[in-house]
Amino acid sequence: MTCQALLRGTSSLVLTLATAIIAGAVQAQDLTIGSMLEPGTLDPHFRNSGENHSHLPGMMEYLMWRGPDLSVQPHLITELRKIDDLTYEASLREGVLFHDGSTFDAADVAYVIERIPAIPEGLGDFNGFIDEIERVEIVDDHEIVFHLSEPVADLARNLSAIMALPSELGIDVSPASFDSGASVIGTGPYRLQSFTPGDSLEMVRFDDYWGGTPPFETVTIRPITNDASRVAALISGEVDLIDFVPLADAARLREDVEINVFAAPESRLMFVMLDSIRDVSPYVRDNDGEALNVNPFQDARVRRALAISVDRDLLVERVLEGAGSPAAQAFSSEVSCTSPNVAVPTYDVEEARRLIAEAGYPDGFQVTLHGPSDRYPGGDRVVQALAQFWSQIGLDVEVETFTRSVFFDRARANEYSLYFAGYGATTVFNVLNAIAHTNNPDIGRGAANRGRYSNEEVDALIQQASSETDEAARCDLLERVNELVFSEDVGIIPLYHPLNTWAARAEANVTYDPNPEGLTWVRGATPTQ
Amino acid sequence: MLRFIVFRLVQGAGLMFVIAALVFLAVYLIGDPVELLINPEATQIDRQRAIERLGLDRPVWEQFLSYLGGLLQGDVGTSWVFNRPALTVMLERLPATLELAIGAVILSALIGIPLGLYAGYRPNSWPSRALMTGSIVGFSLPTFWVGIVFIVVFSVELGWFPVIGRGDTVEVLGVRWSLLTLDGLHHAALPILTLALSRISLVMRLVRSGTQEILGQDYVTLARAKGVPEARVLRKHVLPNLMIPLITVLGLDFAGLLAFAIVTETVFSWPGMGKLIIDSMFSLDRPMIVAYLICVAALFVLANLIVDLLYGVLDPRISLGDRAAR
Repeated sequence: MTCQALLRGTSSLVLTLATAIIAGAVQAQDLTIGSMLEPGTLDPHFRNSGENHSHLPGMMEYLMWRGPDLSVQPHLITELRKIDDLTYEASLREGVLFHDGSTFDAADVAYVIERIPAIPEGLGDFNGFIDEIERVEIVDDHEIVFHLSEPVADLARNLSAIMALPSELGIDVSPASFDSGASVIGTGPYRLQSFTPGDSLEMVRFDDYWGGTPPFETVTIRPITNDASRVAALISGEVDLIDFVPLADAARLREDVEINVFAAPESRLMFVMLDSIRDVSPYVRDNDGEALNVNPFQDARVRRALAISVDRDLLVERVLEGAGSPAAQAFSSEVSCTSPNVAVPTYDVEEARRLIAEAGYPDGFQVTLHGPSDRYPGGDRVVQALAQFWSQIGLDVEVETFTRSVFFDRARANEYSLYFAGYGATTVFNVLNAIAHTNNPDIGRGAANRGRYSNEEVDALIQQASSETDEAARCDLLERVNELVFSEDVGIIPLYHPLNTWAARAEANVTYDPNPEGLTWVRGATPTQ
Repeated sequence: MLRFIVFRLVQGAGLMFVIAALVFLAVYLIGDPVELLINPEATQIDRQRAIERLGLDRPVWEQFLSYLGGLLQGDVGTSWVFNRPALTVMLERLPATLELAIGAVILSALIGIPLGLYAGYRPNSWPSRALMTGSIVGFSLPTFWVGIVFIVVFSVELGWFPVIGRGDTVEVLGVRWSLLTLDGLHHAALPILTLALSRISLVMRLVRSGTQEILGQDYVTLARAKGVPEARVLRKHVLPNLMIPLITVLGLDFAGLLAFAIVTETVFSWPGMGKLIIDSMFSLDRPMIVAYLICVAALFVLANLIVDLLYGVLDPRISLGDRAAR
């Protein structure tokens, strides 16, 4: 080997090393997230909104945790044991430090439960989670007992909305001290560095985090509400990761090698609700345009025909440009409390025609399909597509859309025969309770059941589930409701679960683990290995 | 002079009262804020609690009276989203918007006046014609479109300017300013240009027609006959006489810029008042909307007053005392 070659070899080795070191330095990363969501205040107990649940948990942690299947898991509370309907014992995680160096213990949990109802301003959003907790008994530093005033179906889930703060803050800690950052003291993987409302939320790594060293050196959240600007900021490299990628851009970004796209179905069901309660429905006409004196949607065969004549694969691929997944029931099957026996309705026009004819409408009928024009991404195109699908089985479908406030007002008043809408929630129970239980404002059920679907068996099962404290037993009941509503009755036609999309620059080496709630969690982002 | 100012302030206060009443009623009619603010999964009990806590269960007149009472004490209410006094939240955002507005006004004057002078002085030359045609484009392009195109061209394709935020700020007199840092200027350039584009056209057209009119006046003919150099004619005779209509337009426009830089701020994620009000409207944060509208009204009253005062300074023929006495 000549001297020169040796030299060349060495220099290329040095170069490789240098690159590796630089790459390594980049790996000890900083992360900038461009988010559509911006917290108004950093007080974790002020507003129960997607904004606050997205960006605050990076700094402050929930007592219990909701996993990717939306089931509740241990977190700061490691074990919650039911003694009787009104008494629960809880063990707290040991060795957890707050950002100020103090230890997380029983007094902090008691403090948080006491503080929430004492906040004078705001909507009292979080009170609902702890209303029934009468007293927190401190057994020792890491053992507590919750004494309830009345039975609660899912105490663990309620606690999964509550973030811990140190009791040293005192019961009348001022709202301003959260925005200045003085009171933003959590147990989370990142500490607050600075907060400039409307501009940025900066966090730095908390080295003493109980769950191991957090992956990023600093994390910066930049609120960018405008869709086009958010995408532009990503492409120009100003931010590493964005959320809520607009439908039109998502398809293009997927093709882009410089960009990685992450997506997950949201815990939201998009559906068509049928007017199955009235004997005569306002928007159903015969083929001459005369009002029909029977309501075809009361016939299960007609409902099923409508359900199976929609090609959901085509719908999500073409109409939604991939931003959805076909739906069979309340949530996609990865989520707990969904039934394995309910499948996405098989697309079968022949069978649909046969069912419609059998029900006495061989030549179909006329009907108007209503939908909101500005509520769901791509929603206006979905209703057009539905009209096309149903024209294949002889239905003459007219489409009418309104702006959201008008649409929902009229839906609430039960003015439609057929409408397209969606409902999102964190539990299967909440979805079914809202859309499948008979509409009854007095008991607070069926709030989103604007087509007035009603089945006594379904109602009974939902009510039973609402007071069932055993998670497995509750799931069994809800699985049965899913089967009844979506498969046996077809009282509600399931269409799709919208896909939430995040995008990161390939250069930034970030992977985002999407969650069904559609939140942008700092802890969902990790450096790509 | 003092009498004039006092008179105008009293007049302004009366106006503010009327506006406060209108704003309150209008916002009251928009819709149910609880529906938008509360989590969709909230129970009936949660909903009822929220209504009571926000005082929405009380009759309208009672809500209005307690709001007026607070207003007289300088309290416009506490934001339902930020959990802080609405006025404080708004004033925090004011400097950012102020920067954009000042930058846009200065830029439109710096570019618009010389170009307008030229176009008025040589109305038939081809650059003048080009400028006039160009100004129509500047007028008619919608701001959001200009903003997005600037972002796509200068940020995404060329990579010259950043897309979002204010960049580094420096604290002067307890307020954070970004125009005083290099990085801040870098960030502000595109939004200011976007905001200034239509103003440049406006100033240019205004100056051009003014120049043409003034050039036909006797005193200009006299000056020229005396052999005063053309540059001096423009500087000493034309420009000062242009200032009065220009100050009126720019003064009122400045208030407009402060109040309605909404689109530009949203596109460039500029943390100013415009972005704040848009976000507040989406969440129906009533105290925030009301505070904003009232402050904007106050701003316009103030801008009008200042413009009137400037008249007196610029044109000795206008005596402010007389006007007030009339």
